[in-house]
Amino acid sequence: MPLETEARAEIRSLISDLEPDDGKLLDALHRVQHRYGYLSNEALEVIAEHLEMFPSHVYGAASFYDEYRFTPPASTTIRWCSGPACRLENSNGIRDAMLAVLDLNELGDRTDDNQVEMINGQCNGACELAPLIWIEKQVEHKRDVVGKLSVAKAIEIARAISKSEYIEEGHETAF
Amino acid sequence: MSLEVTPKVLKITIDGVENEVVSGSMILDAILAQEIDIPHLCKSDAQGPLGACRTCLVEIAGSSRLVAACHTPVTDGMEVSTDSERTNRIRRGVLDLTIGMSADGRGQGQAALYANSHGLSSSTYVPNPRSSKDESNVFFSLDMNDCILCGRCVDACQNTQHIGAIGINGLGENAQIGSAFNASWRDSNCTSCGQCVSECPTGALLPKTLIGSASSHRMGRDTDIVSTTCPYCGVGCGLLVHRAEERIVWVDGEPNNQSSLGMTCVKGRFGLDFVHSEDRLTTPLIRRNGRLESASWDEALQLIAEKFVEARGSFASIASAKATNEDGYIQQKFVRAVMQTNSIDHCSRLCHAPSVVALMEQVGSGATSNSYLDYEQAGTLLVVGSDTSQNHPVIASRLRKAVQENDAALIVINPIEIELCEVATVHLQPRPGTDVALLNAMANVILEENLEDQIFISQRMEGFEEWRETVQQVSPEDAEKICGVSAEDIRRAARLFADPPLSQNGNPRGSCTIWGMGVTQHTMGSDNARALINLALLCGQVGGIGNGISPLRGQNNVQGCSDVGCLPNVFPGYEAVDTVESHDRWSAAWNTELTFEKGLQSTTMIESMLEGTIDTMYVVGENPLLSDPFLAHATEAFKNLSFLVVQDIFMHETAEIADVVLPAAAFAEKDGTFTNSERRVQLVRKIVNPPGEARDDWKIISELARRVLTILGRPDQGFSHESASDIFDEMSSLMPIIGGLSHERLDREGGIQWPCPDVEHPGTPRLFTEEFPRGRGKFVGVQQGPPAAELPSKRFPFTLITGRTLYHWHGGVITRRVKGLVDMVPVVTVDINIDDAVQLNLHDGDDVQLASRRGEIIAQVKTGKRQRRGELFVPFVQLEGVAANFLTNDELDTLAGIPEYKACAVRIESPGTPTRRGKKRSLKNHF
Repeated sequence: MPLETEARAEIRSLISDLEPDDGKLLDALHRVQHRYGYLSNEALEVIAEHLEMFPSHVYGAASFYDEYRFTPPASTTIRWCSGPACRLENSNGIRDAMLAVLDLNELGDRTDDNQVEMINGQCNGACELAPLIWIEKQVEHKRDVVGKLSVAKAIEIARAISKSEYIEEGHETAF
Repeated sequence: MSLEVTPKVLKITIDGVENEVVSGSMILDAILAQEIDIPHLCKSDAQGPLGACRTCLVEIAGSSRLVAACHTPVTDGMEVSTDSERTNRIRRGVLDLTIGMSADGRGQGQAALYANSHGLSSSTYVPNPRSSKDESNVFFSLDMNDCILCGRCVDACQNTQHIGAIGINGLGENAQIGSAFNASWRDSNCTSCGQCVSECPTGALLPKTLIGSASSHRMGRDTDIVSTTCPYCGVGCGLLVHRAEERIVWVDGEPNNQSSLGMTCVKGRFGLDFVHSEDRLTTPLIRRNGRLESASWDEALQLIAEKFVEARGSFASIASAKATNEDGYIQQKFVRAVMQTNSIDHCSRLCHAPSVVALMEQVGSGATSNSYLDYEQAGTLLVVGSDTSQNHPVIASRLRKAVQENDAALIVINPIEIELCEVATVHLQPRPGTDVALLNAMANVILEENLEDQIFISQRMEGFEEWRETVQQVSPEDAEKICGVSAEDIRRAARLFADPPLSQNGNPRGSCTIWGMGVTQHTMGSDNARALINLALLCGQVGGIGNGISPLRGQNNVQGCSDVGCLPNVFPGYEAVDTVESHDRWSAAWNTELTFEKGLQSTTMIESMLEGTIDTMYVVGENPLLSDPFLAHATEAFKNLSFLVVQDIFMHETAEIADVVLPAAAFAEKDGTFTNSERRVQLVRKIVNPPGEARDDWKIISELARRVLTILGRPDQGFSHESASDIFDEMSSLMPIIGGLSHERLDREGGIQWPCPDVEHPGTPRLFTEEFPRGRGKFVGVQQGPPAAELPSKRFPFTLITGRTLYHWHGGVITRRVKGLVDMVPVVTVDINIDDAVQLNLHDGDDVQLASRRGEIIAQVKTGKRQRRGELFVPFVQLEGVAANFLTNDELDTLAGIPEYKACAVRIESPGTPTRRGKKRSLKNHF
């Protein structure tokens, strides 16, 4: 056996109560991503070993879902809702404006200093808040839902974030 | 035995024709049985349904929707329509979408064929190609342009071969076949077995190394297919070899072969083109003025015959475990009946001779007792000294299946952390050469905790009390000190072995004992084997379903070569040469007076050559000057011969110093039989013609025999067979263990396991079910001695372990002729513990010189944690002139005559360091 590194031991402890069974896979992936913000190769190997699955099977399943990430997130992640209700409320304009302020080319890009990234998000049904974004802070493990945006408001938020001056004003929750 | 349940028969009407199928059949099974061809792109012959491609849609009377025939079970009275206007229209729509996935909108392979048969030449949709390619694997490539994401390749990798190298990554239009973490295939844990390529219905996965127009042979099925048996290891996989224009162009696994179940490894699939190598020997060669020059068969055979006549009394021969049973039988008949000596041996001397010594002593038969199927039925698998994934890859797949699908416990005993450790329940990692202490301690635990099978011991065993005393002296704590394995792990393994986990539905299961060269290639190899067999007998784990004792055979036909008597002490069928009864029987059968005197073992032949008592050797299909230990010594012995004849398919180290070299036909160029590790006798069929003037081994030997007999003025009877089948008939008439077999029966029924005494007998999957050949089984007490004849010292501080690598075959004479295999492993490597490497400032890829008291080699460093500090591993293949056996020790196990390949003392130095071997080692006679 390779020597258990501290990281491996910590990952293992996160999922140690799950029975070896592929039905537990999504749960295990969620727990690890929640803790670290992404799924490292090492984490996927530990999950595979614990659930007695092939690493290729675990990776294949994880890569099917958009929400699982395989690289560490930036300090602040702007998750832009791509749902139809938001689109009807000009979310495309909000997206383009924020990308421009942050000097990013497209969703999935991040700033050179690794501080801010903007990614595609899936509708979670909070359409009464459309158009909306989620602002996630990795270190604090906090998520701010900012809804009923306008392009002007979005630009203001993007500027504040890029200067690290953003103050939560939406509906902040721990995640 | 479980009760046979008569399968229920169901009636099904397909396109108006009524048929019967057994309950549990799918509609597609019934359709194909009726020889109706409907598309079924994602359904493999070897696997259950995936239901992914939806191209096998059919209509069922009374149901409004179409169903996929592949995964819809037949119900009684079902009426199915495969060819109605509606089914064709909807299937056509599915095929339209399917071929729309490929870059050109036309589809490839079977997808294109079925689209065409449904009136589609190209898709009506705009193609949306996923253009990624992976060319990193040496043997095959993946082009996602042609992939329809049916998932057969993933299923083959995960559920047939149990490797799990690939999956489907991503989703939707970005989905693609790939390995974990999107690594390239070359960097994944892919073993290049090619099962995925074999399954691919579109040619998205295509072989690179085999020649011919890929699409024609993979998809158009315009090749001839010959069913034969793999020439590499002792697993004995069934191969369906595709032939086009006198070349082997592709290999599929034979799904009906009960040993391999449709699988092959990388060598069986991609390693057969050595037969077409430019390097093949094509004419006889005779040494003239110091050089080997082409000669005619007549000239060469006459010269040999004259020399052999003179050499009677100082002649010995080595047979080939790569040749057929028929070749081996004729060779030993020639040596015994014509040359009048029993000095014939083969490479089992260098692999399982200690297992045979121990098995003969303890149970009375040297063969594997069980079938491979038993591994899948066992509760516990004990794998000792066998890196199964490298040496017997298809058995390793079956072991993984047992663990992953059937929840078997796997105990690995190996000083190296082998690949199987990934799925092992316990890995015991003893210091090399301490197996006896470890196994005795396991027996000690079993006795201490009363887990032994008392009924089995009292009814079927002897010598228990005396033996018990020897193991009672070895507590797990004692063993921990000797072996470096924790007492707790020893206890855990012992309990798992004696009390295997129940099956998934709560039934008791057995334990299988499986071992390889790590047990035998030691000076105490026989003791290791005895300690292991004691353990199996103690728990009664022999002769039942899901248990048994298995020495895994190395060469494709090492079992058969022994069976047909290429051994110095027994006639065919293991009848001792020195008993009056068998002597008289075989003398009468061969119409001559045979000798009672046992012959020389191959390892003692070396000493006799040096002494001069053997001056003429006939070596068939073997390269002792690569496979023998302490090569410098062996070379000296062979050079001392006055006449050496080598018969083989390639020029090699031994042939280079021969007086006459004869070109032989390879496995693909002849008919015959091989017998695998589970005693299954299987047909080898001719696929192509031999190159140049090369001939079947048995034909060469027979002609030689006739010439020798003519010179001696004796009648030439007994060497005028018409065919390999003729020879087999003679063998079966004289050897009760295969008395019921013939080529014709093997052709009709497939491989059959001996003993098979008569034509009605179905063959024997398990030996020793009621009693042992020697009557009662016998416990034999053994004690741990020094771990090796040569222990690490200040000057030679490392212990060198040798073994095989997946991508090469033994010394490499064959696999060096297969480009892909050489690409995978081009140079000899040395595995070194990372901590030792750090201390010596060595990095991956560095060249180092390894030196023992006998020689030096240069090897490339591979760091890791596979073995503990102070231990090195080098595969024994010869690449670029470097071979581990320049280092190994020729100290022998006194009973079995096997050399200690698995442990010798070496040091690491920088390349080019001058030789400092110290005092010259004396060449002592071991017997």
